Amino acid sequence: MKLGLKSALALAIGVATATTASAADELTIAIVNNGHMINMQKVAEAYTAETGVKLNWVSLEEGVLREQVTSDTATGGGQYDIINIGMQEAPIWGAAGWIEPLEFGEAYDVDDMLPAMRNGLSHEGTLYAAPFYGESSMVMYRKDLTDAAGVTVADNDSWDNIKAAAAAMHKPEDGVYGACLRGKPGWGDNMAFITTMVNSFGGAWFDKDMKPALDSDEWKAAINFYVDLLGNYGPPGSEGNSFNEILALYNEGKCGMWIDATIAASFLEVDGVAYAQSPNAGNPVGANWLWAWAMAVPAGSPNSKASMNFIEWATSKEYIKAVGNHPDFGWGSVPTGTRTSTYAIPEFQAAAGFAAAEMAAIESAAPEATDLKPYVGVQFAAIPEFPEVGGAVAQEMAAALSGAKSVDDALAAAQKAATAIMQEAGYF
Amino acid sequence: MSKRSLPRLLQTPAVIMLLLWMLVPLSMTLYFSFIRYVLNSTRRPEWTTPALSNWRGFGNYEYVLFNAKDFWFAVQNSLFIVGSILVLTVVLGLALAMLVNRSFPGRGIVRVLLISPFFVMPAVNAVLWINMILDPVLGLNGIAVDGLNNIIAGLKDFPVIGSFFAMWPDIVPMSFRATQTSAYAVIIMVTWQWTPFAVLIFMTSLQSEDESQKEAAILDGANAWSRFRNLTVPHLGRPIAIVVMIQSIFHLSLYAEIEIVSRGNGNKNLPYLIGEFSSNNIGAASAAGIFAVIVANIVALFLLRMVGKNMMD
Repeated sequence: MKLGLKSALALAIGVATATTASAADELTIAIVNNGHMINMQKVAEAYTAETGVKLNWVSLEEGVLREQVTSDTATGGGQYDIINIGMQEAPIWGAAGWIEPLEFGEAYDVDDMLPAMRNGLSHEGTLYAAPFYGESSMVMYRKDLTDAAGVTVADNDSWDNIKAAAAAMHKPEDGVYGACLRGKPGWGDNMAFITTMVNSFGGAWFDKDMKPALDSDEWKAAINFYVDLLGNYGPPGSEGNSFNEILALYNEGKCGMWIDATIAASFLEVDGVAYAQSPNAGNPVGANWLWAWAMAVPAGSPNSKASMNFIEWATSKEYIKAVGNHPDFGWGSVPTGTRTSTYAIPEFQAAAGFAAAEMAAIESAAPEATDLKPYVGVQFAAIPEFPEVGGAVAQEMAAALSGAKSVDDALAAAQKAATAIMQEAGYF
Repeated sequence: MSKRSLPRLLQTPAVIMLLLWMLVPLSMTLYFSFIRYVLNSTRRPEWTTPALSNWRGFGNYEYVLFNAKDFWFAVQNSLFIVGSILVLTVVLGLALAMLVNRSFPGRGIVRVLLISPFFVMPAVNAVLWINMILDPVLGLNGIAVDGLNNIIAGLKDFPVIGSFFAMWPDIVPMSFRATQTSAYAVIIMVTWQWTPFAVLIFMTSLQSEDESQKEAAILDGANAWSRFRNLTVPHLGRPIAIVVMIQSIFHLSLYAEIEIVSRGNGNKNLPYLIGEFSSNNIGAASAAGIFAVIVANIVALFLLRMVGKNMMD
């Protein structure tokens, strides 16, 4: 295989230049431009001071990062020593041999990693990427508004109750919309939320033969509910809203409730926010998603030893303490969702009111394959074709939400597109 | 060495450079479009490296044309977007250029302001328009509609006219990210950005218009419209052709605006479709790329004819 040859060549060059490389160590790191990674650039100044390793950061938007890193890794380009990848890619790339298995020392305490995270980033029991930040999803609602409307939102509530609560809070004439949910097309945008909803109705992306199951009754029930809920009790233009757009709306006081990433809680600036575990329609498994941004080393990188040392530091307990004690950041902005020990730190508990809800959500997320679904992943399927399938379906769901298509038509079109992609990929 | 060979020899490096520049990517695209080539596949690992043994014939083309989502829609939409932008920018550009061609106090400042949208980066342009102007809640669009609704609600309380306004329904702001409307959003923002370009070209051209001809026309009793129609428009034939051609080249490859407005929901052109395939399926992306080359050539053929005709006149 050409790839193997290339990486062998890169390795040979790496060995040949090992002496010079270790003397003047320099690592190029491709990162996603979210808050935690931006902070890391500053915290890591201490690492450079201590070890003398110079760090070059290439900060990219999520979609661009994914494209860049995929083509660079797939073609053995070798631009980066360390890459940020998500939970969708980690197991696939590990299986394909694109990234190196990670081994850390005793002090790293790999068992401290949250089990759901560790499972989601491993392939056949081997860890391929180390999480620096993880999340699940939960309900964030305005307690003042629910109290005023005389409704309640419970943990693992039923969808019917959620709809009733949204309806009671929905007062567009006062600029408050009952429920703000994702509608912007994208497999990591609207489909992340929609998939958890479908899961909670007992549906799944693919049946046991990996045939798309988008025309099933569960999908129909879930999407009808979604379009009804968001169409009637959501803000206008929801088909353009994802995390950042809804965060802006929520902080303007325009949303009664929001079901989204647990990390959102640390950005909310309105008072009286309360949290609840994700609602379901009878099936609690997969009703809340599981996601992590993780660091991995591309196979055949000439600096793999230095890269692994950096990853070991950047995802360690010490790093979390370093962020918490950093004069610019503090305990409110430590990366969460990766280690059990983080949630036991009293300073963190005091600074993050959402800590307990977040940990409960992450622990209840179940990425592994079950009787209902043959694939790994909660709000995605860990197969290489998923971004393409998810992207195509996402557009149809946005079309259904904006009323351009009926739910049945949109699902039929989604099923057709997904089947074509899976067939093209050689599944059946 | 004959008389001809020296100039040819001197041209050679440039010609070779251009050929390489064009031929290498094009032939690689052609090659990839006839083989199975996906970046990652757990089912068929042999497809992940480009090789002749993965030969697929016209399979990628067949997939793009008949099985994959949205090909014909993307072709139609490409032409719709480019066509609308061309009509709007030429008409608006002509009108504005005529306006600022007269002398008035502060003309220099007005001209600079007119041209400035052209210097905004496309992605910034799209982000500003979709979030700050067209957004149905937080943007100008939402705020204006909200204000209008409030005024109407206020008028309902008046004694006589109140009964008239009572029949008015609440206006719901239009979302420009929906399937039906996202193409309009792209057309609006690109027109805003590129009208200055048309104005700039038309303005310079208007300055070279023969004043004595115009005076003669006035003496002959021609009114303003017929002077515009029979003198100015023919004079501007060539600049119009140039504006149309340059803009077509740029707008056939629109990407940033589409990505930012709606992520391809109900609004995609050929480059966007290629981008969607290229997340994994390079073979299909290449086949779609070849189709895009064909469409661009058809458009170019028409345009060259048009420009050619104008040059002859």
